[in-house]
Amino acid sequence: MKHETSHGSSRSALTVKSLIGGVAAAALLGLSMNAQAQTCVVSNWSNATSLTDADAGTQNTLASDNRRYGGPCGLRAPGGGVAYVTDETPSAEGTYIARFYAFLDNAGSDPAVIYEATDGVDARAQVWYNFPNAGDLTLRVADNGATDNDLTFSGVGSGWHSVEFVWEAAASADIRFAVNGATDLEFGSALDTSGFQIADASLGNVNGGATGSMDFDAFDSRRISRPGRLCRGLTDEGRPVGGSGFQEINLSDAQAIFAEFASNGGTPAGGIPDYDENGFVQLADAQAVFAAFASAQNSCDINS
Amino acid sequence: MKFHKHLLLCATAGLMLSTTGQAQEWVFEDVTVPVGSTTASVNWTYTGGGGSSQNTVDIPGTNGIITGIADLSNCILVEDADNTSCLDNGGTIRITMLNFDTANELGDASGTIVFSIDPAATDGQSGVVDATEVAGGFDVVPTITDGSVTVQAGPPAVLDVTPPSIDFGSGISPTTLGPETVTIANTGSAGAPDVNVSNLAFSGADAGQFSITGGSCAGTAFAVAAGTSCTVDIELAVNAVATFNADFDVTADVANASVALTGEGTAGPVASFSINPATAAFGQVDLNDLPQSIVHTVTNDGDPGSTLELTSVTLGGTPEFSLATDCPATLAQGVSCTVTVTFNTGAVGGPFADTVTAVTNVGTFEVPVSGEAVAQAVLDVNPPFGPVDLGQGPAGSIITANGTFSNTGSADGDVACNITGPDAAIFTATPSAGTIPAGGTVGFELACRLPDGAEQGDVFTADLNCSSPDDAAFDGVHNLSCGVQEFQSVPVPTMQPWALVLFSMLMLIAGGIGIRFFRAG
Repeated sequence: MKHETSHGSSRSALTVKSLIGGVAAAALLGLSMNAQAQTCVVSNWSNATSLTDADAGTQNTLASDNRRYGGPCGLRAPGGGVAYVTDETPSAEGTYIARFYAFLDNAGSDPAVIYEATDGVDARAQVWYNFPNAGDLTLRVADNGATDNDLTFSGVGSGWHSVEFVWEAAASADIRFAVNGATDLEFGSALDTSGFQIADASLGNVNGGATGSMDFDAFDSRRISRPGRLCRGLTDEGRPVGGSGFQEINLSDAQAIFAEFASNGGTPAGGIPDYDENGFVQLADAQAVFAAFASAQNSCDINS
Repeated sequence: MKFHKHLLLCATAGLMLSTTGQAQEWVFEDVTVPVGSTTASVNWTYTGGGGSSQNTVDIPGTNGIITGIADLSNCILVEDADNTSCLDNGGTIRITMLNFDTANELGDASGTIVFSIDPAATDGQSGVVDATEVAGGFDVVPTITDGSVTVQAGPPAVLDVTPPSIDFGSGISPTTLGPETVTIANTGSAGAPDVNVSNLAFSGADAGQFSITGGSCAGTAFAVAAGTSCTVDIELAVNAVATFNADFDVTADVANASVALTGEGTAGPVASFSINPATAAFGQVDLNDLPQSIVHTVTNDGDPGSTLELTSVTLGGTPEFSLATDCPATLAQGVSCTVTVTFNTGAVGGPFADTVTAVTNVGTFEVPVSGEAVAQAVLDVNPPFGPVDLGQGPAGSIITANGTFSNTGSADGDVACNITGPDAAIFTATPSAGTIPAGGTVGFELACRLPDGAEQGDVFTADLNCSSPDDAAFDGVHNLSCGVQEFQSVPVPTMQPWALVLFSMLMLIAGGIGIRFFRAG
């Protein structure tokens, strides 16, 4: 768990919430953490609506039922009703950059708001799933002319999805939307979001539209600089930068993934063990990490 | 007790297994321990069949008399993989083998798991070493043979079923192969309990073709004492040209066993049906010519040694046709028989049609039958068409000969004749035209008038052409001829002069003798 703050900039980072217990995070965000039991909580969020710590647990010790993307914890928002966490640390933000990971395979096919940023009253940015069609992910942004300006990735498929967007309040706003590391989508005509601001952000089954459960992890919001995607297969997020100029995955990552599987989740790997992002930590993930290492394709620059 | 398991999740995976020979197999041992034991060591083996770089199974630590996991220190004794692991994950043992490089195949492996056993378990109680595949833990679906732990008092009973497989060979279908004998034995030491067989059965795709036909085992549920055995005789009923496979399954209290059975039905010599002629086309038949019959020859001209089975030979039921046959039920190769189709009716009618149907073991064959009854003239002439020599005579004479037109048909027929040729004027036919009544005859005379000036040896010829508009088949030519032959005096034999003298003298002598005889009287 980490909380980044860019003190040297007037546009500092906002919040990183991975829902995992950790010493630094515990101190900073008041997490209840047990290093052995990997207790996970939702109390590091400002508010939790219809969610409890049980929903932010390790989900299941079975590797086959793993539902976290990074680290041992994740957030599961049940379907069939409103269930979300809210971050109220933003303070009248004029720029807002967010990234999170979502596992939506069980969400059903009804349109659902899985993320929403408001100015305290009205929604200024939303991420929809199954809208306009089943399997689509859509960023909906309000401006001074309309409330439903949409950027859509169609048919995003199964597994974990990284969702990134950049928002700003400006007469000609630079707004971008990216899913799974694809090229950013932008509006053909710049929106006029001048005068808007972001006061809070919610993540989960925000409008209750999802009929099945959804999993979220690795939420990160900032005022400046995009956090980018996490490094798949990197099980030690503190690993020094390698010769490629980036962190690199190696055999120890493959071993850590193997250990998690062999122990049936009893010895969970750190970082991002689900290399293929299919929602399960399997031996194939260990083999994929090995293959990336063996073929010198192990830089996190190309494994994000 | 053995349990064989494999995932049936993916037909494609199964196909790959069968076509590439890849087969990963986990086998867990059946173990018998004395009553009162607290632990039992169960050996396991993994056979890497090639093509797999990862394989994982989970084994619950409790099942029946198995109460927990006692020791995993020797869980993996032999391995050939980059990474192997055998861990107690909350009461479940997970054995995992992984080569990081998917191109590297796992090698064979083995080890021993020590389970805790309920010391209060009594004779015959058991627990299953129930291994299952772990989703995401294998790249080739493994086959798993579960193990077991059984508590027994004294030496254990041991089921021994032999042979492990039986090949019944092959036979020409249909036939029965076998019997072959399976021996069910209890090879336990003296004092071991009985092997209690609870069922004998066949399983597999062709289980229905196999049957128990004898043997010394008492039915399908019986006990086999230690050191003894009994037998089961099995036969294979071959009913098709195919390979028959099944398992003979022996279910017993101490273990189960199966004998793989196989046999093949082959094709024998093939008969072939032929019939000649292939149709019974009577055409138009005059009523007076009915009935008529066509005799068909049926032959088995198939392979040597083949048998043609004639199930039936029938007509469709048209009353104008009837069927008779001397064909037997079976015909050996090269043997023939006959089928006779008769056409008969009392009145003009038709065309009539029917079918002779022959049902055989090589197929069903049909012979079309057709015919039409008509009333028509059927004309004939005597002498028949061809050369007719009226003979010879002296010039100026008339030579004659008689003939007849006959009509065996059921309708009157007109006949017309004319004489052509260089000597046509010499010949006459009387009458030269007329109607021949149905069933009747009409005479005619042929005459040759030899010219007065004709000479000895002259020959005269002409053609008498006859035809009928009522009988197209009646159309022919009499090649007439006659010739001149003058009469000659018949030579009368006469006596020579010396003979006359002699004859006179003899007469005188005879007369003189006669006078003397009468005077003496």
